[in-house]
Amino acid sequence: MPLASPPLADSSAGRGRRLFWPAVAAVALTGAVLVVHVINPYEPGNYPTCPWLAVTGTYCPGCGALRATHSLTHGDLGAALQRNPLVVVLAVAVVVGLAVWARRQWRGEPARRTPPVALLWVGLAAIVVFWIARSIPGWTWLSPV
Amino acid sequence: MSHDDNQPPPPPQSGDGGSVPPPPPGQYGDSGSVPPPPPGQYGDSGSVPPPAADNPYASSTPPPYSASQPQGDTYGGYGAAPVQQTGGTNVSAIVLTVLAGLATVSCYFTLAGLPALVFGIIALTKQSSDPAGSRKMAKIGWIVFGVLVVLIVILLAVGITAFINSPEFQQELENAS
Repeated sequence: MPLASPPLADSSAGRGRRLFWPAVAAVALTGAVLVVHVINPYEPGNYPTCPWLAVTGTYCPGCGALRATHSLTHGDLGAALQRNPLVVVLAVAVVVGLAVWARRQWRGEPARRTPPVALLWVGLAAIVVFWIARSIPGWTWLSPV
Repeated sequence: MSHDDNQPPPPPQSGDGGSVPPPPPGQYGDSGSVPPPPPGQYGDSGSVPPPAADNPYASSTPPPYSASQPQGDTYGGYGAAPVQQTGGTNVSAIVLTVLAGLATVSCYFTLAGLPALVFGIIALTKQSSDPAGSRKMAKIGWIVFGVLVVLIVILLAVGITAFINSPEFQQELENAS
């Protein structure tokens, strides 16, 4: 018998036990977002520079993520999309995924469905394309600045 | 030997029920008299004694599988093999994929997240067709992810330390104080 319930649903475990890992994920995500909300990433010096940007001089797919998150927590969707549209899409996916996971755990439903693997490959390709596209000279509409 | 060949036992006499001798063993194939096997012991059909020749109904007694063992899955009389989780969800691959995806757009851990994300997606792709390969891919992904995260943390720590000790930062500190 494991000490803690696995992340997926186990109807033999109690409801509180099943909701342990969704609660851990929710608390961790909320804590991280709260830090970015309170400590303003728009002010220089509050966070370290992106190592990829410092070494190569080009943007990584995550550049502008902290500023986008900060803007999202202040309700400024336009600024968030301007800093990093990928983070906005991912934030929606994470919130929806967490809600679906918690609902499934609450009901004790077995999570035996195949994950959308094709969608994951599309997402990976989108990250790589976004990475390349935002560093093309002249394509400032994808750059975080 | 058929059932009709056996004569029913005489009904117990009132008042002397305690003195009535029990019927001879095996005469009626009374399955209720077969002692159940102790729970949790092997549960193998190989240890079941064969029905007695003079016990025509003993064969109707279900084989004494233990409750925790699936029926009909015995290996040389030493109980069933452990249940193999084939075709199940690879939880490790799902967790790896989610964490690597978050790391990829975290800026600092992009280079750690991207290869781990590839391994995680490959593991999820193979989880129904090749469960062993899926687990192996997830394991490699976790190792790659962990090593790269540690390397990036070390590089970040070195960079921050160098920045703090730089003459420019020290000058700014002196100007501020």
